[in-house]
Amino acid sequence: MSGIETVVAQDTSLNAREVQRWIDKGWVRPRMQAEIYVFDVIDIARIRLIHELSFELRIDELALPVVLNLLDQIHAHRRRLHDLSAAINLLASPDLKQALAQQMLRGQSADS
Amino acid sequence: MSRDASLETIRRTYRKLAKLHHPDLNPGDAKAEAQFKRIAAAHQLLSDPDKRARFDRGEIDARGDEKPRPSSYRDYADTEAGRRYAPGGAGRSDWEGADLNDLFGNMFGDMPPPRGARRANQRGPDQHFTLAATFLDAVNGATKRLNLPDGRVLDVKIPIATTEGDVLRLRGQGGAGQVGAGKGGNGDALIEIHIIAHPFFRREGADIRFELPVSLQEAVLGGFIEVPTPSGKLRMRIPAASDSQTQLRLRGRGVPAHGTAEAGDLYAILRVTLGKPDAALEGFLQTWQPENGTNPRQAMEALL
Repeated sequence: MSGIETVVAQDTSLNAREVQRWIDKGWVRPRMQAEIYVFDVIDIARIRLIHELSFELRIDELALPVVLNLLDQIHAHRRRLHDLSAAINLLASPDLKQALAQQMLRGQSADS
Repeated sequence: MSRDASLETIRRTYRKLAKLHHPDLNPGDAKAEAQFKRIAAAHQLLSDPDKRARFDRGEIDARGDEKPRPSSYRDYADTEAGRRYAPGGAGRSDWEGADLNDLFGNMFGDMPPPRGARRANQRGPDQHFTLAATFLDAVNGATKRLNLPDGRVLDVKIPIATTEGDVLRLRGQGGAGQVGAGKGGNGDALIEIHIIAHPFFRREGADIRFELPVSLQEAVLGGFIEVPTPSGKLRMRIPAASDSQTQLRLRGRGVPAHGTAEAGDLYAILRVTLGKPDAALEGFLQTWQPENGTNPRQAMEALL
């Protein structure tokens, strides 16, 4: 019993060997509990995403890790942005928030 | 896309548009998401001949077909759960002192260690790399040098009979562990091997096959020829009267023996080549009366 079967049972388009391969390649990283994979919702969503990318969009095996890596970077950046805005929300005075917003808008128009 | 586009065209167009607008490839972009919903609905509709006909007759419109999508990867990736797939490996904070210094300058002096570091004793993350190996290195085994993005150099031993997509694990060569009580240890480096195809040799399990061009003379008269093989040059006997497609086996000259696996065989598939026009040969053939003149297309004709 690897835990993969439970995931595969929920979605007939998936196959256990494929999912195992994705785990071996490090594309999916479930938790391990007593030698059994435990899939959280994010792992299952990621399996579904990889399945869609490779079978529906036909992104090949060589391009897929590049796509996933870039995607992981985007999400890391987005989490950083969330952290940053949470910190600003918590700590900045209303005046400072407004000044920050204005400064950012100005920066944007200077770029374009 | 034209009104009479084929299913294949529809599928191709869908794939092309979906690659651009897939919401998981455009996290945070509501426009891409809406666009993708329309694309998916259109694809759904046009892939079904019944619905497509009704759409063409104006009986239904494209919108009715939008399907709610199951929860998406992007819904989780931006949350705490997403840290599992952070580029540096799970368990690491998204923030490093360097990021903060980037944002705020060095005005606060040294930043406190990132959140992830609080968990002492954590094993370092595994790191994933890929390494391209030549066909022959993968067959015979080799040691290859891999330059890592962080400047380290790993000597990777590619074992005999490595196949495409094999993953080699180098213990302790991954990300550094968190030095808590010193038990964490480094993660492993996982190296995925990609094999560069060989222009002549092909692998089938432990066997290797290749096409061996021979001259007309060699094919008719037979004899010894020297052949480049994956294990170096070999002398090989061509039997007299060897036709094109004749398969000659060199026992044990395929993938070398390793572990408990026996060596595979090497198969040469002969291809008779005529070379440049030759007056003497032409002259001979014009007057030549074949001893056992049979029709080479007999088997073919018997079927028609």
